[in-house]
Amino acid sequence: MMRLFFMMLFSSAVYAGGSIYDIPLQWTDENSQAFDLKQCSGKLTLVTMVYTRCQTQCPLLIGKMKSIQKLLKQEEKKVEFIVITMDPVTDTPQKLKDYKEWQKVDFPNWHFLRGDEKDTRKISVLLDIRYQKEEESGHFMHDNKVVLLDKRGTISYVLNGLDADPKPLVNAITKKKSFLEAFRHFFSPQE
Amino acid sequence: MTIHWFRYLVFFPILSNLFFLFPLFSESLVLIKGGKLAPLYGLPEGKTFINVSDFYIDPYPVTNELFFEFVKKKTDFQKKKISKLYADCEYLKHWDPYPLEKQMKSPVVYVSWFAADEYCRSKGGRLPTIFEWEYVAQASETKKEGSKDERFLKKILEWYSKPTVAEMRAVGKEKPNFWGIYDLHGLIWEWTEDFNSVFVTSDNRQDKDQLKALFCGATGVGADRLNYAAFMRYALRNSLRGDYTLPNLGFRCAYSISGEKK
Repeated sequence: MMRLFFMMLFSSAVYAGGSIYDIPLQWTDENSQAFDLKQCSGKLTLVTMVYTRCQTQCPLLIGKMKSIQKLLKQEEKKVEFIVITMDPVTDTPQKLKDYKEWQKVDFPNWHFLRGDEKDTRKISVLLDIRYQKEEESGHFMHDNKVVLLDKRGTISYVLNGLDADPKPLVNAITKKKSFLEAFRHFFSPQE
Repeated sequence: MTIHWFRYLVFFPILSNLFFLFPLFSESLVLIKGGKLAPLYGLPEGKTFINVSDFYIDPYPVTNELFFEFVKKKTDFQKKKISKLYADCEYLKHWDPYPLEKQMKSPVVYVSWFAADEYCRSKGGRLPTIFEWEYVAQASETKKEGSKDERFLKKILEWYSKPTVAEMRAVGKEKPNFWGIYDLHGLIWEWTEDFNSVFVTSDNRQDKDQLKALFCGATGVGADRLNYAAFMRYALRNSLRGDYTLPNLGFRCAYSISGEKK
């Protein structure tokens, strides 16, 4: 009974701050399957925004994500890697699939997502990732951010800039549990 | 019995006033014919203008009354229920907890981008893009292109230099601009759909000099720097986040020609 009480007290269900995982946005992954961010709930998630025609910064951003993956130990690899295109008009699921293969990140926890233009803008506002399309060239000016979402779907760390050291973000993923988290984990070990 | 028709003239001022007030309470949209815009920012190198397509826009900013109707239906956007992701703690601060009668015809302020976006979606529209908003807002009372009109720019800057009033006046009390759009200047600042596409300060592509050559789609600043009012608007947009609410920041909706107009 006591255990149930503490589970209720500390479960994510009573969290009132709002979760990005719960925002009703429609995504399609590189396999043309519907993807719901809710399936990341309870996991740590790294999110970035790129577009496939971008030949310079975006591969570096993906490279940053890959280097983070390498720095994680085996047991910490339960992190979801989400790459959202800021160019849904051009980036079809097939293009995202090709891009994923080209980037050699063909892992099940890597998802390349495409939404409509409204949902893409909305997630960019939620993640505070700015972008602007230059209509004539079709290229984008954009932020280079990798955002870490915690298990509840709130932003817990932002790696800002191509030259930013990924170690603080890795530390944020691998950090030892705080007292409160350890307490929650004790009463709710399935989390 | 003789009909003294001229006696009916006493009704003329009343009827003409009703006619004048009619658009204020209707939700009629205004068609904006597209054209060229020389924005302050965001032009590719070598270009001096961009083309804006035709679109519809609300003639007035969204009022407290209309937004109140919206939150009555969309309860998760009510003051006490809205997610912290969607709005900061000042959301609809001027309501107590509902708008007062005297606030009804004033523009709604203390609204976040998410709330404004949801409102416009509920009407089958969207927020105007920066280019659309600037295109409409560059019109003076008489000219489609007023951004070279010093008197017009001076009037805008005079408003920008005044502090925000505690109580907003009702919408539609000043003269409309060339397009028949009211209160684009002089009452509130307005949200745009892509407010977060502004990079007035150096964005993080410019972290270090060695990265400068790596920019994708780098855009030049190729517009009229004399338009200081436009610069102030861009600076404000650059400073915003989607959950921010401000005492003088409201919105109006736009509608694409293809399928978004209700």
